[in-house]
Amino acid sequence: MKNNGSSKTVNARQVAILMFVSIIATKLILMPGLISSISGQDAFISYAITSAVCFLSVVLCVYIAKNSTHKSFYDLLKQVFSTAGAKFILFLFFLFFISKVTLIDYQIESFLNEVLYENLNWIIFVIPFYIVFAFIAFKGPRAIGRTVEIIFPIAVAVLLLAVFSSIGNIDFNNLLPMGANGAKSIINGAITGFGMSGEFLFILIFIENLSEKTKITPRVLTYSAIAFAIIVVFLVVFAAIFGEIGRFIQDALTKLTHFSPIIRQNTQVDGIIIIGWIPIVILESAINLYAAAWCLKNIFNIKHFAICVITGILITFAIKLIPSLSVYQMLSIIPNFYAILNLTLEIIIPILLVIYIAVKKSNKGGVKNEQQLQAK
Amino acid sequence: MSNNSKQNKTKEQLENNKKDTNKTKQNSQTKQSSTQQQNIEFESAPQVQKGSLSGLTKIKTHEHNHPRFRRNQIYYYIMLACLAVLVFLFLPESLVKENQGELVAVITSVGLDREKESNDYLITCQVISPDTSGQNQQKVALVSEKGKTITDSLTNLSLKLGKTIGFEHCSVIAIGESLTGEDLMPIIDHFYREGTISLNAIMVNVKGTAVDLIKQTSELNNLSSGSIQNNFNFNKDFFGSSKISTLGTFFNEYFKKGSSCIIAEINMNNKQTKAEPAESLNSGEASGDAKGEKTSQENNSGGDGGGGGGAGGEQLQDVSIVQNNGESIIYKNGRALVRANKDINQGFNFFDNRVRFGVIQVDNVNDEELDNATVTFTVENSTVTLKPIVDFENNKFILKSKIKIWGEISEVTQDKQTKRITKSYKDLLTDKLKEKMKEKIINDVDLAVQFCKINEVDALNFEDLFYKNKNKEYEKLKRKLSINDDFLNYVDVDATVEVNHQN
Repeated sequence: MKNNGSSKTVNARQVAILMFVSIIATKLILMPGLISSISGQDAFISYAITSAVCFLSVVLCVYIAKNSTHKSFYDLLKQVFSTAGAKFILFLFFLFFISKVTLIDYQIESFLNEVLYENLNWIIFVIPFYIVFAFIAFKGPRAIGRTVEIIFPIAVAVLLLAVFSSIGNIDFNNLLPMGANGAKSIINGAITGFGMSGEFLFILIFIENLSEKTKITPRVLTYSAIAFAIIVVFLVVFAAIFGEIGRFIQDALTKLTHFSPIIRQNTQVDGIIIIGWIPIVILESAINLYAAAWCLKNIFNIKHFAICVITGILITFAIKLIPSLSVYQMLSIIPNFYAILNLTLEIIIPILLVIYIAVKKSNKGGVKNEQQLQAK
Repeated sequence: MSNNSKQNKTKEQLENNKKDTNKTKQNSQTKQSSTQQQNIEFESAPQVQKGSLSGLTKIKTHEHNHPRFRRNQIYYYIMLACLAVLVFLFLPESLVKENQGELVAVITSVGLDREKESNDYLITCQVISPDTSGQNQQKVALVSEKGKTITDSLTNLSLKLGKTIGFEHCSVIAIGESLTGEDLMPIIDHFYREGTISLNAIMVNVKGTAVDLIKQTSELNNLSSGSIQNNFNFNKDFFGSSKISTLGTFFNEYFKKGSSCIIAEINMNNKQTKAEPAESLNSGEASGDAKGEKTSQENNSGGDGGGGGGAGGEQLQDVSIVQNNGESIIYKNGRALVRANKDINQGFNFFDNRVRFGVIQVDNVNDEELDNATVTFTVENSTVTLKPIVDFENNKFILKSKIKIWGEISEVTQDKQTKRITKSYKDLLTDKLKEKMKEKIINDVDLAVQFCKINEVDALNFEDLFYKNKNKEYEKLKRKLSINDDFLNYVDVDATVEVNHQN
């Protein structure tokens, strides 16, 4: 039962699916309403901008994952930024991933309270939720990779169900006039979207677990592009259905099926959607918890990975104990705090690492050429 | 000599090759034997059992790449996923003693009124208690409570029921006549925010009190309370019906340029009828047989209201009858402004692309085989294309509306006797009749547009249409003409109609 958090591997297909799931899992719950409250009907344009930036970050991360000759991401960071610098950056990553776990935790609680339960006691909700995703995180990347292969078709089915059950209510006039709220609101919406992104950074943590590095680039980039495109399309559908009231919608995925002028009987598909979507969110939490625990392990040189996972869970639990802290308060700090943190972790650090790897690669090429010339 | 040396070399090569092949054979044999041994070890390992956790915890001692092991792993992860879902969904319910049904009162429809005397809000809810006996029946109860504010009323209602009020399953919001002229937005907004009422709950105005409507329709819905909407005879696809507005539509239209919304109206007419003896109510006779010609609403609407005095010893009682006459109320800025009758609603529906079916009746038709006839044309499908044009020359906003309908003649009534039963109705749809139908539709459309202009209410959201589709031109002409609230005065509707036989 010993697990050091790095012994298991995932193949290119699993990483690609993981990438897809992690990008999409939490974007369809709170984010559409949040961006709509800033950009109005232009929310999809805002997220298209965010997607372009995030996709660039994915490209950088994939380049690092593919071309890094180091044992792990930590080794790479150490070589570039020294040990102290590497530990500081890992601490930033830890903050990022643990806050993602907490945010997902709050989101899923409000999601459940909205649809399935009335005044759900958070402790009762937290116990099974934490047990499941902590166990998956403890089992490591291989367990995560295998689980995502099972859950992936369910996610796709749920998404299709949500969109197609409400497709009759789409009115594309609700998207007009484009850009009516001005460029500033579009940019602000894009910044908010960017603040909520970055789940794909797990690929850097998984560097030591990748078994098929040569196949990673096309698959991961394709799946990521599809995921970002789906979110943009979802936002188009969201705005076309909800129109002006999109800004008030807190859980887009389930509310999408509510807004129907068709006279309904007793049928409600939101329950089915939430049941199908919960495993995706649990897995997303597991990925983030694994990444946070991995950061802890390397920062403090902890041998037992279980200790890191339990510490991560306890920190999340401790945040939950803060009175009157809700998902909306957490979301209110997104534009300020997360956007800066995300910019550092998603763009600046990957760019520096890519430059380092590229320079090292060209140096190696130069040395080889010199050796060949000398041999001749 | 050279040939001999070559032959020797080739012999040596052949021998080497043979040795290599023997080596590879030996290697493969040893590999096979080792895998067989592993298989034997794997199969004979007593601690590994398929699907058992004890086996899975000891997986490290076995070959990870063995196909059987991998298969077991897949089963394991499938089980894990299922377990995760089950635990997550059922553990909270099993840990909490009371189930959700005991904590929450499920509201399926809500009525809003204002009391005349105290000016308090009166909220009436139809509450269902899900029955788990398997008979597919739900107990329906009606609860009313009043308060100075909506929050006050809802709190009182919650105290009365001893449960939290759950509006998630609420499908109807009935608004009583007493709320006419009051801004509904704060009330409805409160229901949506606090009560999390569903956005597809339909909104209905009541000519009378919302309490009566909820009471009467509840009696119709003892078997299936969720189908309360159906008792209003609404059909979103039907020309004859007034437009159905949901809570979501109300919110959306409120924020549009015209800030107007059409909400259907239901009449609650009081009618005095002879009170039936108590015995006959319980005698098991179907009331529908006795009043066969009445609508289903009428059949079920008895029993309410106070009894009146009767002449000749017969007791009379007031009975409320639920009637959908195709009327609607037009709201502007959240306030009920004006009532639209059935004909005007029909005109409104010709601008709605979702309305596809209906009946068009044309009177005084004279043709080869028709003499002062009344022709009923059943519309099987229809489309409408709206094209906004900003005319800077004439300073007008022109809305080109192209209506296409497909259908067939379903009824012809006239004094002149013909043997038309032998003829197809298709032959009767002549150009002359088509022209007559076009006139009728254009007349309905004009009537609806004039109604909007006279009452200064943009019920068809013309301004929003120009704002969204011709934004720059709209803003330019609006600035040029310095239009504020009188946008409709600058709108001209140019409707063209095409009538086609269904086939």
